Amino acid sequence: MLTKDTAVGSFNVHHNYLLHNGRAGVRHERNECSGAEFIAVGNVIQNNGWESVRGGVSIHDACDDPRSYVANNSFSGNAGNLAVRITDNGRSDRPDTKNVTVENNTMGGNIVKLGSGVSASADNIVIRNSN
Amino acid sequence: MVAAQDPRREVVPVPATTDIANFVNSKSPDSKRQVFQLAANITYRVNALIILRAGDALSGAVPSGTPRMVGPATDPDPTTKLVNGAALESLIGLRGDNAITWLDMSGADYKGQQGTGSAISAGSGNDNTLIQFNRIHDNEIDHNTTESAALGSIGSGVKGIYEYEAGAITCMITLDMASRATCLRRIPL
Repeated sequence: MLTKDTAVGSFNVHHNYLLHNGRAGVRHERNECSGAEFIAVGNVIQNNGWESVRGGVSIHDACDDPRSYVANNSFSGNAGNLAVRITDNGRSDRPDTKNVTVENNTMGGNIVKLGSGVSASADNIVIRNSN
Repeated sequence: MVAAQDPRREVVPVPATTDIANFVNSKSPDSKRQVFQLAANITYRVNALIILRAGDALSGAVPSGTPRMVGPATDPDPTTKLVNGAALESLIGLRGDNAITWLDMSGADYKGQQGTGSAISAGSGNDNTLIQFNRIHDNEIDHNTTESAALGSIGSGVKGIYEYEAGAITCMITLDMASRATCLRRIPL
């Protein structure tokens, strides 16, 4: 069980094939901001979200320090064309989503979508070099 | 980051014919770190949630050859499979500092509670968690988020969470005498 004293850690999802799952291929969500990180690298993420549109990777209420990092993945066919969905609940008792970098992915026609209340500039959302 | 092949872990082979959940759950509470090594080309039916003690790992066989690359990503094509043998809501539960590697996992089923429908439930993975070289597919929910009972739940391949899952819509709910939830007011995220 996570406590506030042991929040430093990492959630690493590397080199997996995430296929045809009902919601997101990977879902990362936090309830605090201290010292953890989420890294999704080198995964094939295809055809997820057929029950609910969350995309291949869903990052929600995640204010990780140093960051959430999504790179070198290969996306295609995810519902709503969503490769990565970055959202914020908006509740005052939940973290504000920030510090997300999405780079060097093969998008396969999918996109990165920011939910309402998430600002690329104010929340340090970096999206670059994907095709 | 936690390493898949942590030399501090003792290798414990899991026989192909065993009840995997019973086997792992009976041994994982041991105080030493262990990696439960599954056999190649075997499908294990999971009849209860596999719970890994903090520090333990679950690994399938490493296939021969070089994994296929898909753009910058890797298709690991594991030969060891875990399938849902008992309509389980999740196949594997993490307790922190766990590694899950070289497994094909499918069939986790939404059961109406938060956190169900994920092959790997990482909600209690309180420290470093590594999920690598797996094929995670066809994990599902039976309902969608327009149903109040499904709100706050997920049907992902992998879910990492430090509190609870918020659905696409948050509701103020009421329960009737049969504990059926009704959404009184929806709060869009």
